[in-house]
Amino acid sequence: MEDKQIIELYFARDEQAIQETDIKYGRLCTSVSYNILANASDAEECVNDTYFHTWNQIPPTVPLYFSAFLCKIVRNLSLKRLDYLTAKKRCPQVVVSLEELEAILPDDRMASQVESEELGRIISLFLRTEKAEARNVFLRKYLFMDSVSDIAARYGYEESKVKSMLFRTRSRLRAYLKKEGVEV
Amino acid sequence: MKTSKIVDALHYIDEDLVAEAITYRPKEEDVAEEIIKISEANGKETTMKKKGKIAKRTLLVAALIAVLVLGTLTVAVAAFRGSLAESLRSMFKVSGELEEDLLTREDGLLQIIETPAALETSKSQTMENTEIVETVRETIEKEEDIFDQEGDITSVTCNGITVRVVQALVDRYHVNLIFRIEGLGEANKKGVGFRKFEINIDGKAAGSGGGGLEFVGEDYVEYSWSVRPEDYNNEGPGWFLGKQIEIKFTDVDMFLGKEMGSYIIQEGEWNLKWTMQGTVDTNIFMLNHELEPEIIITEVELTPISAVVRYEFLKQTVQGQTANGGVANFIKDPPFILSAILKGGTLLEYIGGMGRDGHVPGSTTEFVSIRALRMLIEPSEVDSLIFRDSNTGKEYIVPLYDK
Repeated sequence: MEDKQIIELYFARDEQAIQETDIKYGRLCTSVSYNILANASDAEECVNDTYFHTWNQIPPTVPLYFSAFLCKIVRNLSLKRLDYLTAKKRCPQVVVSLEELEAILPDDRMASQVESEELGRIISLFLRTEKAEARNVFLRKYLFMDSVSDIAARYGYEESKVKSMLFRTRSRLRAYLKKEGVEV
Repeated sequence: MKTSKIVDALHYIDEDLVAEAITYRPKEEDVAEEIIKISEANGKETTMKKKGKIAKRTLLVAALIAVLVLGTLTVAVAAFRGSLAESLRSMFKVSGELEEDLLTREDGLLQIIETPAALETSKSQTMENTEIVETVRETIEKEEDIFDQEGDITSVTCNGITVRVVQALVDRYHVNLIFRIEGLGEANKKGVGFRKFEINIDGKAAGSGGGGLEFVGEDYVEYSWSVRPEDYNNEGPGWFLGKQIEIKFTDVDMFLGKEMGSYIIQEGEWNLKWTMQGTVDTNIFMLNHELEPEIIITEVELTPISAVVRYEFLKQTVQGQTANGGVANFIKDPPFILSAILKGGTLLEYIGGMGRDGHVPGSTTEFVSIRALRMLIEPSEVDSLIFRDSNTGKEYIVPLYDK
């Protein structure tokens, strides 16, 4: 079913909307959540929460990119869930990803002055200046929390190439943020 | 602390970038090996590598190469029938009298992009039929040459496929473009799209947007793209009117289903440019309507395709419980526009569409919601608007006029 038709079902308050969402995007949502939580039952709960939030937000929201809309919700809920769980249960892969991102914003005092929304807008602008392959590798890693090996398999690259691309993109992002006055 | 800052920031990445990351595949020549994803019973994916080309895609491309004999680049403005594009009809639920009104109004809302005289003076360039990649490269070189020339390019044919911009609905906040694509041959048109779509206005990336296949005709399809040009240099709403718009379509691809993803069926670039026209007409209603204590609607601005609502609303984060018992922080939103009631009593349900909402930079109380409408309206006919709180489900009727 086309996204537009699924959204129409939400507007009609037809519960079939959730089933159609699950059929089309359940696997994608589960994959995003599982990458963060590394636990099938936790991931399943987050995916169910995602449908619950989607049901509450549509209408009035009409997502322009339904898949991206769902991914953002499931990612957010999964990260919150991760915070909720004990540190011992954290997925090492996610911890590594987040530590890599830490290096981009070395001075927390400066970073705290920038709203997350504004920072997201700046990062979006930066990503638009990047080549498509570097941009998408970056997003797969830090937004979808895919592992380096999964990204390499997805795009047919060597793992070393993925690591190198991520390193260079992070370096360029760091320089870009500095230029924008986000970093000292 | 700083980790959570940047993790939170990634939540605000533009959705078109996120959508691209979901479907993006590198060009075939960049990929050394084919990757096949296998879905296991537990929902987890594993991957295996297979040497060689992707058989299905090769077949599709080969089938098209057989019918694509010439690459032709036409600099012309195409005539389009004097009625509304099917896509605009369905996107904005326009029919009957409303369509007639739209076609005859002179305020610039509807742009029928045609200059028939240009057809007589159009130039065509025909390239040799060589290997497909060489043809594409040759075409791009020619297009760059032509981009240096003055004048509009609203129709381009490359490798047998023609892309033309035919109509647009444009106001101070939104640009809705309709393209017509011809020459797709035997391709399953329902799955056809473009691998990449870039749009610049006055030399700047045009902000957030999205679109896709809207209508499938017998020998053509209609493709839409809607954008909300962000404000640049505080130029304000409508800054883009009268400015040059440049659009680049890259590679026709086809969605082959969830498992196979999208594959390029015809490489090429289709570059268009013309001057953006549109209307600055708008209707502003100054209000002071309290929805709840500390949620006040101060102003509503309506055009036939946009609604802008200004609120006095204190920025706040609220903690809530998720369905599985977890606790999460949510940024509280005010109620958003849902429906409209016309002066005759007719209810237009769910008019509020995609949009951008948030506090004005530097303010913690002034909140603005800019929404595209999901149907064409006549602002002077609107009596009141219905707003809905997405958290509580509570609805509010807000009259636009004093009773």
